[in-house]
Amino acid sequence: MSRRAVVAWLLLAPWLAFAISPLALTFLTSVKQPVDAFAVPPVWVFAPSFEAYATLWLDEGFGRFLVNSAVVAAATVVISLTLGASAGYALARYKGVGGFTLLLIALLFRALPRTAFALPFYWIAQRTGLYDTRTVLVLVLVAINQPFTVWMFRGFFLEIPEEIDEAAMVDGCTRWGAFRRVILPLALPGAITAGLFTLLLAYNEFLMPVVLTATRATTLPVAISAFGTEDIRYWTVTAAGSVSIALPIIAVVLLCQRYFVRGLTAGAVKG
Amino acid sequence: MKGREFLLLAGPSAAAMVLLMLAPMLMLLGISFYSFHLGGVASWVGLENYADTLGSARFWSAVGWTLIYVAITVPLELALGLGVALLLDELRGGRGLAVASVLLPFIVTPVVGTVVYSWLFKDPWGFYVQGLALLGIEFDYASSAWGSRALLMLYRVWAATPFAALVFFAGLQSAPVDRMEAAAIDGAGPWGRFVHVTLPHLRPLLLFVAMIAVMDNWREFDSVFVMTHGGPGSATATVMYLTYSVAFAEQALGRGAALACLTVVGIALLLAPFVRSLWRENRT
Repeated sequence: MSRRAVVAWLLLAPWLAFAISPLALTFLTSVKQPVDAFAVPPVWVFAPSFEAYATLWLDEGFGRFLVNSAVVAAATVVISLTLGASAGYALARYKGVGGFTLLLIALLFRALPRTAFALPFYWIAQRTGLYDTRTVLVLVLVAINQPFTVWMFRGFFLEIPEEIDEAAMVDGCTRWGAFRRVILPLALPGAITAGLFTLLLAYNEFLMPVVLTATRATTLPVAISAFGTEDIRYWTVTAAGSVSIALPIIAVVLLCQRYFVRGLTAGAVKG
Repeated sequence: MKGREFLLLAGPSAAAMVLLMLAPMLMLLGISFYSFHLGGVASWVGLENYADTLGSARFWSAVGWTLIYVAITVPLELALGLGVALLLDELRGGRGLAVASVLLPFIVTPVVGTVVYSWLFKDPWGFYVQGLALLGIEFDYASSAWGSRALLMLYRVWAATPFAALVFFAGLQSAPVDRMEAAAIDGAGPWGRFVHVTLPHLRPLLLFVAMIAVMDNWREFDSVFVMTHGGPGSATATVMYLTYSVAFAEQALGRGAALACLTVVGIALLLAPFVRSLWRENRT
Protein backbone atom coordinates (compact mmCIF):
# COMPACT_ATOMS: atom_id res chain seq x y z
CA MET A 1 0.00 0.00 0.00
CA SER A 2 1.31 3.42 -0.88
CA ARG A 3 1.90 5.98 1.85
CA ARG A 4 -0.91 8.13 0.51
CA ALA A 5 -3.39 5.28 0.83
CA VAL A 6 -2.27 4.55 4.40
CA VAL A 7 -2.74 8.19 5.39
CA ALA A 8 -6.16 8.20 3.71
CA TRP A 9 -7.24 5.10 5.67
CA LEU A 10 -6.02 6.67 8.92
CA LEU A 11 -7.93 9.88 8.27
CA LEU A 12 -11.02 7.97 7.20
CA ALA A 13 -10.99 5.69 10.25
CA PRO A 14 -12.66 8.16 12.68
CA TRP A 15 -15.48 8.75 10.21
CA LEU A 16 -15.99 5.02 9.64
CA ALA A 17 -16.10 4.49 13.42
CA PHE A 18 -18.64 7.31 13.76
CA ALA A 19 -20.72 5.84 10.93
CA ILE A 20 -20.74 2.21 12.02
CA SER A 21 -20.49 2.24 15.83
CA PRO A 22 -24.14 3.08 16.61
CA LEU A 23 -25.34 0.01 14.73
CA ALA A 24 -22.53 -2.23 15.93
CA LEU A 25 -23.28 -1.30 19.56
CA THR A 26 -26.97 -1.91 18.99
CA PHE A 27 -26.26 -5.37 17.63
CA LEU A 28 -24.05 -6.17 20.65
CA THR A 29 -26.78 -5.05 23.02
CA SER A 30 -29.44 -7.09 21.24
CA VAL A 31 -27.63 -10.30 22.17
CA LYS A 32 -27.03 -9.33 25.82
CA GLN A 33 -28.99 -10.25 28.91
CA PRO A 34 -31.15 -7.29 30.05
CA VAL A 35 -29.02 -6.76 33.18
CA ASP A 36 -25.85 -6.39 31.10
CA ALA A 37 -27.48 -4.06 28.61
CA PHE A 38 -27.56 -1.02 30.87
CA ALA A 39 -24.53 -1.71 33.03
CA VAL A 40 -22.25 1.18 33.97
CA PRO A 41 -19.46 0.78 32.86
CA PRO A 42 -20.53 -1.26 29.79
CA VAL A 43 -20.01 -5.03 29.80
CA TRP A 44 -17.89 -6.12 26.84
CA VAL A 45 -17.51 -9.83 27.56
CA PHE A 46 -20.73 -11.80 27.96
CA ALA A 47 -22.45 -15.00 26.92
CA PRO A 48 -24.62 -14.15 23.90
CA SER A 49 -28.33 -14.69 24.35
CA PHE A 50 -31.10 -14.57 21.78
CA GLU A 51 -33.77 -14.08 24.40
CA ALA A 52 -34.55 -10.57 23.16
CA TYR A 53 -35.22 -11.86 19.63
CA ALA A 54 -37.50 -14.56 21.01
CA THR A 55 -39.45 -11.96 23.03
CA LEU A 56 -39.68 -9.70 19.98
CA TRP A 57 -40.93 -12.24 17.46
CA LEU A 58 -42.86 -14.64 19.70
CA ASP A 59 -44.34 -12.55 22.55
CA GLU A 60 -44.58 -9.15 20.86
CA GLY A 61 -45.82 -10.56 17.55
CA PHE A 62 -43.41 -8.50 15.46
CA GLY A 63 -44.22 -10.79 12.54
CA ARG A 64 -47.45 -9.04 11.63
CA PHE A 65 -45.68 -5.67 11.36
CA LEU A 66 -43.15 -7.34 9.08
CA VAL A 67 -45.97 -8.71 6.91
CA ASN A 68 -47.50 -5.22 6.67
CA SER A 69 -44.14 -3.65 5.79
CA ALA A 70 -43.34 -6.34 3.22
CA VAL A 71 -46.75 -6.21 1.51
CA VAL A 72 -46.81 -2.40 1.38
CA ALA A 73 -43.21 -2.16 0.11
CA ALA A 74 -43.68 -4.86 -2.55
CA ALA A 75 -46.95 -3.40 -3.86
CA THR A 76 -45.47 0.11 -3.92
CA VAL A 77 -42.42 -1.06 -5.90
CA VAL A 78 -44.48 -3.00 -8.48
CA ILE A 79 -47.03 -0.23 -9.07
CA SER A 80 -44.46 2.60 -9.04
CA LEU A 81 -42.23 0.89 -11.57
CA THR A 82 -45.10 -0.09 -13.88
CA LEU A 83 -46.43 3.46 -14.03
CA GLY A 84 -43.02 5.12 -13.96
CA ALA A 85 -41.25 3.08 -16.65
CA SER A 86 -43.68 3.82 -19.46
CA ALA A 87 -43.98 7.49 -18.45
CA GLY A 88 -40.19 7.82 -18.24
CA TYR A 89 -39.89 6.31 -21.69
CA ALA A 90 -42.52 8.65 -23.12
CA LEU A 91 -40.77 11.67 -21.58
CA ALA A 92 -37.38 10.59 -22.95
CA ARG A 93 -38.72 10.31 -26.52
CA TYR A 94 -41.47 12.92 -26.82
CA LYS A 95 -40.34 16.45 -27.63
CA GLY A 96 -43.63 18.32 -27.23
CA VAL A 97 -44.60 20.99 -24.67
CA GLY A 98 -46.77 18.51 -22.75
CA GLY A 99 -43.72 16.45 -21.83
CA PHE A 100 -41.83 19.43 -20.47
CA THR A 101 -44.84 20.53 -18.43
CA LEU A 102 -45.24 17.09 -16.89
CA LEU A 103 -41.55 16.97 -15.93
CA LEU A 104 -41.77 20.39 -14.31
CA ILE A 105 -44.87 19.47 -12.31
CA ALA A 106 -43.21 16.25 -11.17
CA LEU A 107 -40.19 18.24 -9.97
CA LEU A 108 -42.41 20.64 -8.01
CA PHE A 109 -44.22 17.74 -6.35
CA ARG A 110 -40.88 16.30 -5.26
CA ALA A 111 -40.14 19.34 -3.15
CA LEU A 112 -43.40 19.23 -1.21
CA PRO A 113 -43.46 18.34 2.48
CA ARG A 114 -45.06 15.05 3.52
CA THR A 115 -47.60 16.84 5.72
CA ALA A 116 -49.10 18.44 2.61
CA PHE A 117 -50.26 14.96 1.56
CA ALA A 118 -50.71 13.37 4.96
CA LEU A 119 -53.43 15.80 5.92
CA PRO A 120 -55.82 15.43 2.95
CA PHE A 121 -55.15 11.69 2.80
CA TYR A 122 -56.01 11.40 6.48
CA TRP A 123 -59.33 13.09 5.88
CA ILE A 124 -60.13 11.05 2.75
CA ALA A 125 -59.11 7.82 4.50
CA GLN A 126 -61.35 8.59 7.47
CA ARG A 127 -64.36 9.21 5.23
CA THR A 128 -63.89 6.26 2.88
CA GLY A 129 -63.02 3.60 5.43
CA LEU A 130 -59.50 3.29 4.01
CA TYR A 131 -58.03 4.47 7.31
CA ASP A 132 -55.67 1.91 8.86
CA THR A 133 -55.42 -0.22 5.69
CA ARG A 134 -52.39 -1.18 3.65
CA THR A 135 -54.21 0.07 0.54
CA VAL A 136 -54.10 3.70 1.61
CA LEU A 137 -50.39 3.40 2.46
CA VAL A 138 -49.62 1.96 -0.98
CA LEU A 139 -51.65 4.72 -2.68
CA VAL A 140 -49.90 7.53 -0.87
CA LEU A 141 -46.43 5.99 -1.23
CA VAL A 142 -46.90 5.45 -4.97
CA ALA A 143 -47.94 9.09 -5.23
CA ILE A 144 -44.99 10.45 -3.25
CA ASN A 145 -42.60 8.30 -5.21
CA GLN A 146 -43.93 8.81 -8.74
CA PRO A 147 -42.11 12.09 -9.59
CA PHE A 148 -38.77 10.64 -8.58
CA THR A 149 -39.35 7.35 -10.45
CA VAL A 150 -40.39 9.17 -13.62
CA TRP A 151 -37.31 11.41 -13.57
CA MET A 152 -35.01 8.50 -12.93
CA PHE A 153 -36.46 6.33 -15.71
CA ARG A 154 -36.33 9.24 -18.13
CA GLY A 155 -32.61 9.56 -17.45
CA PHE A 156 -32.01 5.86 -18.07
CA PHE A 157 -34.02 5.82 -21.31
CA LEU A 158 -32.17 8.90 -22.58
CA GLU A 159 -28.98 6.81 -22.47
CA ILE A 160 -30.47 4.34 -24.98
CA PRO A 161 -30.10 5.67 -28.54
CA GLU A 162 -33.36 6.37 -30.35
CA GLU A 163 -32.08 4.51 -33.45
CA ILE A 164 -32.77 1.26 -31.63
CA ASP A 165 -36.49 2.14 -31.32
CA GLU A 166 -36.58 3.05 -34.97
CA ALA A 167 -34.87 -0.18 -36.05
CA ALA A 168 -37.36 -2.21 -34.02
CA MET A 169 -40.29 -0.36 -35.58
CA VAL A 170 -38.89 -0.77 -39.11
CA ASP A 171 -38.78 -4.50 -38.34
CA GLY A 172 -42.51 -4.41 -37.68
CA CYS A 173 -42.85 -3.63 -33.98
CA THR A 174 -45.46 -1.13 -32.86
CA ARG A 175 -44.27 1.67 -30.56
CA TRP A 176 -45.53 -0.30 -27.57
CA GLY A 177 -43.89 -3.50 -28.84
CA ALA A 178 -40.56 -1.71 -29.36
CA PHE A 179 -40.75 -0.37 -25.82
CA ARG A 180 -41.74 -3.63 -24.20
CA ARG A 181 -39.64 -6.13 -26.16
CA VAL A 182 -36.52 -4.14 -27.07
CA ILE A 183 -36.03 -1.00 -24.99
CA LEU A 184 -37.29 -2.13 -21.59
CA PRO A 185 -34.93 -5.14 -21.40
CA LEU A 186 -32.03 -2.81 -22.25
CA ALA A 187 -33.04 -0.54 -19.35
CA LEU A 188 -33.14 -3.39 -16.83
CA PRO A 189 -30.19 -2.07 -14.75
CA GLY A 190 -32.01 1.26 -14.52
CA ALA A 191 -35.19 -0.49 -13.44
CA ILE A 192 -33.27 -2.29 -10.67
CA THR A 193 -31.88 1.06 -9.49
CA ALA A 194 -35.30 2.70 -9.49
CA GLY A 195 -36.73 -0.35 -7.71
CA LEU A 196 -34.08 -0.14 -4.97
CA PHE A 197 -34.80 3.51 -4.25
CA THR A 198 -38.54 2.88 -4.22
CA LEU A 199 -38.07 -0.03 -1.85
CA LEU A 200 -35.96 2.12 0.47
CA LEU A 201 -38.57 4.88 0.50
CA ALA A 202 -41.52 2.57 1.08
CA TYR A 203 -39.84 0.39 3.70
CA ASN A 204 -38.36 3.31 5.67
CA GLU A 205 -41.36 5.66 5.56
CA PHE A 206 -42.54 6.84 8.96
CA LEU A 207 -44.84 9.88 8.88
CA MET A 208 -47.43 8.36 6.55
CA PRO A 209 -48.03 5.15 8.54
CA VAL A 210 -47.99 7.17 11.78
CA VAL A 211 -50.80 9.35 10.47
CA LEU A 212 -52.73 6.85 8.36
CA THR A 213 -52.68 3.68 10.47
CA ALA A 214 -53.69 2.75 14.00
CA THR A 215 -53.29 -0.96 14.69
CA ARG A 216 -54.10 -3.25 11.77
CA ALA A 217 -51.80 -1.81 9.07
CA THR A 218 -48.97 -0.65 11.33
CA THR A 219 -45.53 -1.02 9.72
CA LEU A 220 -42.15 -1.83 11.30
CA PRO A 221 -40.84 1.75 11.82
CA VAL A 222 -44.01 2.76 13.68
CA ALA A 223 -43.85 -0.39 15.80
CA ILE A 224 -40.27 0.25 16.88
CA SER A 225 -40.96 3.91 17.67
CA ALA A 226 -43.76 2.80 19.99
CA PHE A 227 -41.28 0.63 21.91
CA GLY A 228 -39.30 3.73 22.71
CA THR A 229 -36.37 3.90 25.08
CA GLU A 230 -38.17 5.01 28.22
CA ASP A 231 -38.19 1.66 29.95
CA ILE A 232 -34.56 0.60 30.14
CA ARG A 233 -35.35 -2.97 31.16
CA TYR A 234 -36.85 -3.35 27.73
CA TRP A 235 -33.87 -2.04 25.83
CA THR A 236 -32.52 -5.41 24.62
CA VAL A 237 -35.85 -6.02 22.88
CA THR A 238 -35.82 -2.57 21.28
CA ALA A 239 -32.26 -3.26 20.13
CA ALA A 240 -33.30 -6.63 18.69
CA GLY A 241 -36.15 -4.84 16.89
CA SER A 242 -33.77 -2.21 15.52
CA VAL A 243 -31.43 -4.88 14.18
CA SER A 244 -34.32 -6.92 12.73
CA ILE A 245 -35.66 -3.90 10.83
CA ALA A 246 -32.32 -2.64 9.58
CA LEU A 247 -30.75 -5.95 8.48
CA PRO A 248 -33.02 -6.86 5.54
CA ILE A 249 -32.82 -3.44 3.90
CA ILE A 250 -29.05 -3.20 4.45
CA ALA A 251 -28.60 -6.68 2.95
CA VAL A 252 -30.65 -5.85 -0.15
CA VAL A 253 -28.92 -2.54 -0.81
CA LEU A 254 -25.39 -3.84 -0.21
CA LEU A 255 -26.05 -6.82 -2.51
CA CYS A 256 -27.03 -4.37 -5.23
CA GLN A 257 -24.51 -1.68 -4.23
CA ARG A 258 -23.43 -1.02 -7.81
CA TYR A 259 -26.95 -0.15 -8.93
CA PHE A 260 -27.60 1.88 -5.80
CA VAL A 261 -24.56 4.15 -6.13
CA ARG A 262 -25.45 4.70 -9.77
CA GLY A 263 -28.88 5.95 -8.75
CA LEU A 264 -27.48 8.44 -6.22
CA THR A 265 -26.03 10.51 -9.03
CA ALA A 266 -28.71 9.84 -11.63
CA GLY A 267 -30.64 12.98 -10.73
CA ALA A 268 -27.55 15.15 -10.65
CA VAL A 269 -25.83 14.56 -13.95
CA LYS A 270 -28.89 14.49 -16.16
CA GLY A 271 -31.24 17.34 -15.35
CA MET B 1 -42.90 10.02 -30.83
CA LYS B 2 -46.43 11.02 -31.72
CA GLY B 3 -48.63 12.93 -29.30
CA ARG B 4 -51.13 10.08 -29.11
CA GLU B 5 -48.43 7.57 -28.15
CA PHE B 6 -47.13 9.99 -25.53
CA LEU B 7 -50.59 10.28 -24.00
CA LEU B 8 -51.03 6.52 -23.84
CA LEU B 9 -47.61 5.87 -22.28
CA ALA B 10 -47.44 8.80 -19.88
CA GLY B 11 -51.18 8.91 -19.20
CA PRO B 12 -51.40 6.42 -16.32
CA SER B 13 -48.53 8.06 -14.43
CA ALA B 14 -49.88 11.55 -15.08
CA ALA B 15 -53.34 10.46 -13.97
CA ALA B 16 -51.90 8.97 -10.78
CA MET B 17 -50.07 12.22 -10.02
CA VAL B 18 -53.14 14.36 -10.70
CA LEU B 19 -55.44 12.11 -8.71
CA LEU B 20 -53.13 11.34 -5.80
CA MET B 21 -51.11 14.56 -5.58
CA LEU B 22 -52.77 17.49 -7.30
CA ALA B 23 -56.26 16.73 -5.97
CA PRO B 24 -55.08 16.31 -2.35
CA MET B 25 -53.06 19.56 -2.66
CA LEU B 26 -56.15 21.46 -3.78
CA MET B 27 -58.09 19.82 -0.98
CA LEU B 28 -55.40 20.94 1.48
CA LEU B 29 -55.72 24.50 0.25
CA GLY B 30 -59.49 24.24 0.65
CA ILE B 31 -59.31 22.83 4.18
CA SER B 32 -56.99 25.67 5.21
CA PHE B 33 -59.87 28.14 4.82
CA TYR B 34 -62.10 26.25 7.24
CA SER B 35 -62.23 25.79 10.96
CA PHE B 36 -62.15 22.04 10.75
CA HIS B 37 -62.13 19.42 13.46
CA LEU B 38 -62.65 15.77 12.67
CA GLY B 39 -66.25 14.76 13.38
CA GLY B 40 -67.26 18.38 13.95
CA VAL B 41 -68.91 20.76 11.51
CA ALA B 42 -66.57 22.67 9.22
CA SER B 43 -67.17 26.39 9.08
CA TRP B 44 -65.65 28.86 6.64
CA VAL B 45 -63.22 31.21 8.35
CA GLY B 46 -61.41 32.68 5.35
CA LEU B 47 -57.82 33.60 6.12
CA GLU B 48 -58.22 33.31 9.90
CA ASN B 49 -56.10 30.13 10.14
CA TYR B 50 -53.26 31.91 8.34
CA ALA B 51 -53.59 35.01 10.49
CA ASP B 52 -53.62 32.93 13.69
CA THR B 53 -50.57 30.94 12.59
CA LEU B 54 -48.58 33.97 11.47
CA GLY B 55 -49.45 35.69 14.73
CA SER B 56 -48.45 32.81 16.98
CA ALA B 57 -45.13 32.72 18.81
CA ARG B 58 -44.70 28.97 18.48
CA PHE B 59 -44.89 29.18 14.67
CA TRP B 60 -42.06 31.71 14.53
CA SER B 61 -39.98 29.83 17.06
CA ALA B 62 -40.39 26.65 14.96
CA VAL B 63 -39.40 28.57 11.81
CA GLY B 64 -36.39 30.06 13.61
CA TRP B 65 -35.21 26.72 14.95
CA THR B 66 -35.72 24.94 11.62
CA LEU B 67 -33.69 27.64 9.83
CA ILE B 68 -30.87 27.31 12.37
CA TYR B 69 -31.04 23.54 11.92
CA VAL B 70 -30.75 23.88 8.13
CA ALA B 71 -28.03 26.54 8.34
CA ILE B 72 -25.82 24.38 10.57
CA THR B 73 -26.42 20.89 9.17
CA VAL B 74 -26.27 21.61 5.44
CA PRO B 75 -22.74 23.15 5.39
CA LEU B 76 -21.53 20.37 7.72
CA GLU B 77 -22.96 17.68 5.44
CA LEU B 78 -21.33 19.29 2.39
CA ALA B 79 -17.91 19.79 4.01
CA LEU B 80 -17.72 16.38 5.67
CA GLY B 81 -19.14 14.69 2.58
CA LEU B 82 -16.47 16.31 0.43
CA GLY B 83 -13.75 15.28 2.88
CA VAL B 84 -14.91 11.67 2.99
CA ALA B 85 -15.22 11.58 -0.83
CA LEU B 86 -11.65 12.87 -1.31
CA LEU B 87 -10.34 10.25 1.13
CA LEU B 88 -12.31 7.42 -0.55
CA ASP B 89 -10.81 8.52 -3.85
CA GLU B 90 -7.28 8.02 -2.47
CA LEU B 91 -7.96 4.40 -1.51
CA ARG B 92 -6.86 1.60 -3.81
CA GLY B 93 -7.50 -1.73 -2.04
CA GLY B 94 -10.62 -2.21 0.07
CA ARG B 95 -12.52 0.60 -1.61
CA GLY B 96 -15.74 -1.38 -1.92
CA LEU B 97 -15.75 -2.17 1.78
CA ALA B 98 -15.10 1.47 2.71
CA VAL B 99 -17.90 2.66 0.41
CA ALA B 100 -20.30 0.12 1.94
CA SER B 101 -19.43 1.30 5.47
CA VAL B 102 -19.86 4.95 4.52
CA LEU B 103 -23.21 4.12 2.92
CA LEU B 104 -24.60 2.32 5.98
CA PRO B 105 -26.18 5.21 7.97
CA PHE B 106 -27.96 6.40 4.83
CA ILE B 107 -29.72 3.06 4.24
CA VAL B 108 -30.72 2.30 7.81
CA THR B 109 -34.38 3.04 8.48
CA PRO B 110 -34.38 6.62 9.88
CA VAL B 111 -36.57 5.68 12.82
CA VAL B 112 -34.14 2.92 13.80
CA GLY B 113 -31.25 5.41 13.56
CA THR B 114 -33.04 7.89 15.80
CA VAL B 115 -34.07 5.24 18.35
CA VAL B 116 -30.43 4.10 18.49
CA TYR B 117 -29.15 7.66 18.87
CA SER B 118 -31.47 8.50 21.72
CA TRP B 119 -30.33 5.32 23.45
CA LEU B 120 -26.60 6.00 22.93
CA PHE B 121 -27.05 9.39 24.58
CA LYS B 122 -29.42 8.27 27.33
CA ASP B 123 -28.16 9.57 30.67
CA PRO B 124 -26.48 7.84 32.56
CA TRP B 125 -26.03 4.44 30.93
CA GLY B 126 -25.92 5.21 27.18
CA PHE B 127 -22.61 4.22 25.58
CA TYR B 128 -21.77 7.68 24.31
CA VAL B 129 -22.82 9.39 27.53
CA GLN B 130 -20.50 7.07 29.43
CA GLY B 131 -17.74 7.80 26.91
CA LEU B 132 -18.22 11.54 27.36
CA ALA B 133 -18.24 11.09 31.14
CA LEU B 134 -14.79 9.45 30.88
CA LEU B 135 -13.62 12.65 29.20
CA GLY B 136 -15.16 14.62 32.05
CA ILE B 137 -18.10 15.92 30.02
CA GLU B 138 -21.58 15.64 31.46
CA PHE B 139 -24.25 15.49 28.78
CA ASP B 140 -27.90 15.04 29.62
CA TYR B 141 -29.53 16.09 26.38
CA ALA B 142 -33.13 15.67 27.49
CA SER B 143 -32.94 18.42 30.10
CA SER B 144 -31.49 21.19 27.96
CA ALA B 145 -32.81 22.88 24.83
CA TRP B 146 -29.42 23.23 23.16
CA GLY B 147 -28.42 19.71 24.21
CA SER B 148 -31.46 18.31 22.43
CA ARG B 149 -30.85 20.54 19.43
CA ALA B 150 -27.21 19.47 19.22
CA LEU B 151 -28.19 15.80 19.36
CA LEU B 152 -30.75 16.22 16.55
CA MET B 153 -28.15 17.96 14.40
CA LEU B 154 -25.52 15.32 15.14
CA TYR B 155 -27.97 12.61 14.12
CA ARG B 156 -28.80 14.44 10.90
CA VAL B 157 -25.13 14.83 9.98
CA TRP B 158 -24.62 11.12 10.66
CA ALA B 159 -27.60 10.10 8.57
CA ALA B 160 -27.31 12.47 5.61
CA THR B 161 -23.56 12.97 5.03
CA PRO B 162 -23.20 9.57 3.25
CA PHE B 163 -25.43 10.83 0.43
CA ALA B 164 -23.20 13.88 -0.10
CA ALA B 165 -20.02 11.78 0.20
CA LEU B 166 -21.09 9.20 -2.38
CA VAL B 167 -22.38 11.75 -4.89
CA PHE B 168 -19.09 13.67 -4.67
CA PHE B 169 -17.13 10.42 -4.82
CA ALA B 170 -18.92 9.48 -8.04
CA GLY B 171 -18.15 12.96 -9.38
CA LEU B 172 -14.44 12.57 -8.59
CA GLN B 173 -14.33 9.46 -10.79
CA SER B 174 -14.82 11.71 -13.81
CA ALA B 175 -12.40 14.45 -12.66
CA PRO B 176 -10.45 15.89 -15.62
CA VAL B 177 -7.07 14.13 -15.38
CA ASP B 178 -5.48 16.19 -18.17
CA ARG B 179 -6.29 19.49 -16.46
CA MET B 180 -5.01 18.06 -13.18
CA GLU B 181 -1.69 17.25 -14.86
CA ALA B 182 -1.56 20.59 -16.62
CA ALA B 183 -2.06 22.36 -13.29
CA ALA B 184 0.68 20.23 -11.71
CA ILE B 185 3.10 21.14 -14.54
CA ASP B 186 2.21 24.82 -14.02
CA GLY B 187 3.41 24.38 -10.45
CA ALA B 188 0.08 24.07 -8.61
CA GLY B 189 0.34 22.16 -5.32
CA PRO B 190 -2.35 19.77 -4.02
CA TRP B 191 -4.33 22.69 -2.58
CA GLY B 192 -4.09 24.70 -5.78
CA ARG B 193 -5.25 21.73 -7.84
CA PHE B 194 -8.14 21.18 -5.45
CA VAL B 195 -9.31 24.79 -5.60
CA HIS B 196 -8.77 25.41 -9.32
CA VAL B 197 -9.60 22.03 -10.87
CA THR B 198 -11.49 19.70 -8.50
CA LEU B 199 -13.88 22.22 -6.94
CA PRO B 200 -15.03 23.77 -10.24
CA HIS B 201 -15.51 20.26 -11.60
CA LEU B 202 -17.71 19.32 -8.62
CA ARG B 203 -19.65 22.61 -8.60
CA PRO B 204 -22.86 21.28 -10.20
CA LEU B 205 -22.87 18.34 -7.79
CA LEU B 206 -22.30 20.63 -4.80
CA LEU B 207 -25.26 22.69 -5.91
CA PHE B 208 -27.41 19.58 -6.40
CA VAL B 209 -26.56 18.08 -2.99
CA ALA B 210 -27.04 21.44 -1.25
CA MET B 211 -30.47 21.77 -2.82
CA ILE B 212 -31.56 18.28 -1.76
CA ALA B 213 -30.14 18.82 1.75
CA VAL B 214 -31.94 22.14 2.23
CA MET B 215 -35.18 20.54 1.03
CA ASP B 216 -34.83 17.44 3.24
CA ASN B 217 -33.60 19.15 6.39
CA TRP B 218 -36.32 21.79 6.22
CA ARG B 219 -38.78 18.86 6.24
CA GLU B 220 -37.17 16.94 9.13
CA PHE B 221 -39.73 15.07 11.18
CA ASP B 222 -38.77 11.48 12.13
CA SER B 223 -35.89 12.29 14.47
CA VAL B 224 -37.81 15.01 16.30
CA PHE B 225 -40.80 12.74 16.76
CA VAL B 226 -38.74 9.87 18.18
CA MET B 227 -35.93 11.62 20.08
CA THR B 228 -37.40 14.73 21.66
CA HIS B 229 -41.14 15.00 20.85
CA GLY B 230 -40.32 18.62 20.11
CA GLY B 231 -39.11 19.14 23.69
CA PRO B 232 -37.96 20.20 26.16
CA GLY B 233 -40.99 22.49 26.01
CA SER B 234 -41.20 23.19 22.31
CA ALA B 235 -37.50 23.97 21.83
CA THR B 236 -36.94 21.37 19.11
CA ALA B 237 -40.29 21.48 17.30
CA THR B 238 -39.45 21.83 13.60
CA VAL B 239 -42.00 23.28 11.18
CA MET B 240 -43.02 19.77 10.08
CA TYR B 241 -43.33 18.56 13.65
CA LEU B 242 -45.44 21.57 14.59
CA THR B 243 -47.71 20.92 11.61
CA TYR B 244 -48.09 17.32 12.71
CA SER B 245 -48.89 18.31 16.31
CA VAL B 246 -51.49 20.86 15.30
CA ALA B 247 -53.18 18.75 12.64
CA PHE B 248 -53.13 15.32 14.27
CA ALA B 249 -52.37 15.60 17.98
CA GLU B 250 -54.64 18.62 18.46
CA GLN B 251 -56.93 17.51 15.59
CA ALA B 252 -57.15 21.07 14.26
CA LEU B 253 -57.09 20.10 10.59
CA GLY B 254 -57.85 23.59 9.25
CA ARG B 255 -55.04 25.24 11.17
CA GLY B 256 -52.72 22.33 10.28
CA ALA B 257 -53.56 22.72 6.59
CA ALA B 258 -52.68 26.42 6.75
CA LEU B 259 -49.37 25.47 8.37
CA ALA B 260 -48.67 22.88 5.67
CA CYS B 261 -49.36 25.48 2.97
CA LEU B 262 -47.00 27.93 4.69
CA THR B 263 -44.35 25.16 4.82
CA VAL B 264 -44.65 24.87 1.04
CA VAL B 265 -44.13 28.62 0.72
CA GLY B 266 -41.07 28.25 2.96
CA ILE B 267 -39.59 25.57 0.71
CA ALA B 268 -40.20 27.72 -2.35
CA LEU B 269 -38.39 30.68 -0.73
CA LEU B 270 -35.47 28.50 0.39
CA LEU B 271 -35.07 26.92 -3.05
CA ALA B 272 -35.38 30.21 -4.98
CA PRO B 273 -31.63 30.98 -4.95
CA PHE B 274 -30.84 27.46 -6.21
CA VAL B 275 -33.39 27.62 -8.99
CA ARG B 276 -32.04 31.03 -10.01
CA SER B 277 -28.47 29.83 -10.22
CA LEU B 278 -29.52 26.69 -12.14
CA TRP B 279 -31.46 28.92 -14.53
CA ARG B 280 -28.47 31.21 -15.06
CA GLU B 281 -26.10 28.31 -15.64
CA ASN B 282 -28.39 26.76 -18.23
CA ARG B 283 -28.69 30.03 -20.14
CA THR B 284 -24.99 30.72 -20.48
